[in-house]
Amino acid sequence: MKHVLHLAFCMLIASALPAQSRITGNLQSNGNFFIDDPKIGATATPQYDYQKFGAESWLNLNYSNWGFDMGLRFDMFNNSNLLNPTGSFTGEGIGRWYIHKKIDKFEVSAGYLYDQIGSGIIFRAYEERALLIDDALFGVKVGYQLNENWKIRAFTGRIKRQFSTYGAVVRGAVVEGFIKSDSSSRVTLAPGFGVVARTFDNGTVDDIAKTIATYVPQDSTGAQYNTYAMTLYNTLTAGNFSWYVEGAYKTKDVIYDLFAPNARGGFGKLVNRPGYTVYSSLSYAKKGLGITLEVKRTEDFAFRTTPFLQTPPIQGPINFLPPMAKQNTYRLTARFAPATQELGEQAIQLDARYALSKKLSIGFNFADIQNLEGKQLYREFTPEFTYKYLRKWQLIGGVQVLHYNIFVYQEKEDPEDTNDPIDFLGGGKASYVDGLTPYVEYLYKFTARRSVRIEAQYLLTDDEFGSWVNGLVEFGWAPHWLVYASDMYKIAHHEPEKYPESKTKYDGLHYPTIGIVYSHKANRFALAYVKQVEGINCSGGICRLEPTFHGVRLNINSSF
Amino acid sequence: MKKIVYGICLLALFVTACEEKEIVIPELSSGARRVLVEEITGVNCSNCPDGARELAALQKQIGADKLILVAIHSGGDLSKPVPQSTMDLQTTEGYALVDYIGQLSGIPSAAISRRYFPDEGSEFAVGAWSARITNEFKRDYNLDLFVANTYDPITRKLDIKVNMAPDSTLLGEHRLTVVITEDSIVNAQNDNSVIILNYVHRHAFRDIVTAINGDLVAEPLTAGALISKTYSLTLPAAWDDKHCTVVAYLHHGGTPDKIILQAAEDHVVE
Repeated sequence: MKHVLHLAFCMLIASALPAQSRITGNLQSNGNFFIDDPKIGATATPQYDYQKFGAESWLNLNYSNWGFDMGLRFDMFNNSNLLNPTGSFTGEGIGRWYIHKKIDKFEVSAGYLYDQIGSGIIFRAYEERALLIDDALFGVKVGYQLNENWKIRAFTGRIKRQFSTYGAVVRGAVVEGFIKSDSSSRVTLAPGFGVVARTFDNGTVDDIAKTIATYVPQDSTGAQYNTYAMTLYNTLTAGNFSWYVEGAYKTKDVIYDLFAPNARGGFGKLVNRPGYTVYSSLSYAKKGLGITLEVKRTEDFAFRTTPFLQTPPIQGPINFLPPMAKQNTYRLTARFAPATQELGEQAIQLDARYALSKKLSIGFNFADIQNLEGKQLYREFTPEFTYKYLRKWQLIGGVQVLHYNIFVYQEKEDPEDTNDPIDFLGGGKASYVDGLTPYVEYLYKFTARRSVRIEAQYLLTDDEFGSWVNGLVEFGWAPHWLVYASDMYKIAHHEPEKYPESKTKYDGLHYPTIGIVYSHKANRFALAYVKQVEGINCSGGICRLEPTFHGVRLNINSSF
Repeated sequence: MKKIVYGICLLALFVTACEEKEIVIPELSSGARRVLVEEITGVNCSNCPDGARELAALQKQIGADKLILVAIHSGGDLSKPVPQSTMDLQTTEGYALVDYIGQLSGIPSAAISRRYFPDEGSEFAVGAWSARITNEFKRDYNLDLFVANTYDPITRKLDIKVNMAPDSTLLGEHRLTVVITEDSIVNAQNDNSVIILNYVHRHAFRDIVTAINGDLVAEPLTAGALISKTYSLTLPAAWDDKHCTVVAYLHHGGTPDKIILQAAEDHVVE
């Protein structure tokens, strides 16, 4: 009721607004119709069993006047599986509101606030709707422009949790600046220093004490209310070079280490350890050439509102650690994506693009991720080319060579392969997926407004469920229509009787998707029939396992 | 520049907060004592089922997580198969183990934490079991023991991890014994002079993983230490892995006694 009154109040205000001011905003709505299909595993969740329909909606309103910026967002979830892919969530209300005012050099914001310090290693309040991550800071933020180039800001509040907040109090401050010796200099520095502190609430402290009380003395660990995280970062730009470096340290923190051996002979317990992260990115860019080299090392840098695992586990973070692998966009190259390991990883990534001519450019990406003991977690090598013929057609081709620890990333067992089809790459180890995925994308423009795009990938592997092939055809009639059809097919194992049922259960199955998209000005309507195999869904290194989907999806996006 | 310095000082204040009160964690202690009973029994021992039923009743009363049972078929002629038997539950290792525990004067008899009584020895008759078991629970050696199994049902490879976690320092020689038992074996049994064809044999000793007198624990058992021992074996095909259990016990090395300080068990298949 309170939320309805808030919305009504705002609409009343809007109707009384001066003629020259206006409200802007956007709407995003998803509707999913679930079709039960036990053969492909689309079953045994409330949506498939009896709910049959789930929806999510976000209506965002923004208004600026009298020197104030204000915003309000109505969120709605009906039988939604977005929060927990195997559960059902229903809730509605004001998902966000904020007020911002700038007075000369001083500014203040209150409400649900999004912000980050540096690259987000010690603090990032952001939203990622595909995974229903929305950890806005519900609190107050103040900022002051120290001089032309330096600014300080500070905040305090609690992290959002759907329509409530986590109990822990988070406070922080950051000083950021910009240094350039003179107006003609091509060298600039953008340094920053930030600090964030988290104080556990009494309920969490109670749970920590009760949990440790069940341990044997050998597993006992101390605990404290407060943890402090500090970061120092800088971006150096010199001509065509850009170098970002950030180092962060966190004082002792109670975290749940899933891999820590406990006295009972198993794994997993609360530990109390400090942590650090070092991250650097060096880029060189000039006409026709772009090279980026990234390195990162992380140890015990889980920074959360509570040490206890949430449902799902991706909820509750205060920070964001940069991902260290290519963000693949094709269905099969994106199938095995590495989730960022907060407790320990060291990684390197090199990405390079070079235009050989106006028509032809080549590139490659190499990513290597290990745990702190040097055990390989992920390795990917993807060479690619792009060929453009006038403005008529474009061809992209490449191949992904992958080595992926499926036990660490998805907690799935995978036995050693005695007959690995890509044995020449040295694959076959237990718990690893070794895959070779050639891919191609062809875009042809019939006219300036009509085009066709064709995609194809082939995932060659003996691991997980085996090899797949995926194809997509998409017709575009600009500016309004887009029609597409795709199919992901599970290639049957040769001699399936030699494999356990868990590996062959999807053999010979098709996973088609047929969709239509209509766009008109700032409005977009999409309708699709979808069959999607189980897999992980990742965004920026944050991943979660999602079950098979079978049904119809309706999506509406509108800006006004 | 001054303003920047003030800004950094403000941030530093964040970090240099007043000393905080630590979270109070309750005093931890090791788990409660578990008592091991090594029952010596036999397929052709007419009175032995009464002993097994006595132990089953005690286990039900005390709790299976506290009272751990191992039934060793090592009673000489009374443990030999009857004509209706389709398997022999005797093992060479079982006989060696019973010899190590102490002088056997008849079956059914049992060793209760291998505590020795001058007038009776280490193994004694059914009548004394209940009282002796109850008395054992009054003794606590401030030690916990954990067994964790990793089992591959396809290869039948079993990896055993035993963790010893003393809460107070234990002096002297200590040894670790690890055995495998199989429960719910249906086979013939002489029950009060009647041969029961489908008698359910409980906790039957199948094999010993360590030495008969236990493996020496060379690491000092000081308060707060965590000592791990690991073992690997392949379960024979004749055993039903779903009913197999690994039982581990830490005991004195023989001088002055062989008392079992703590026991633990874990099923091979959960």
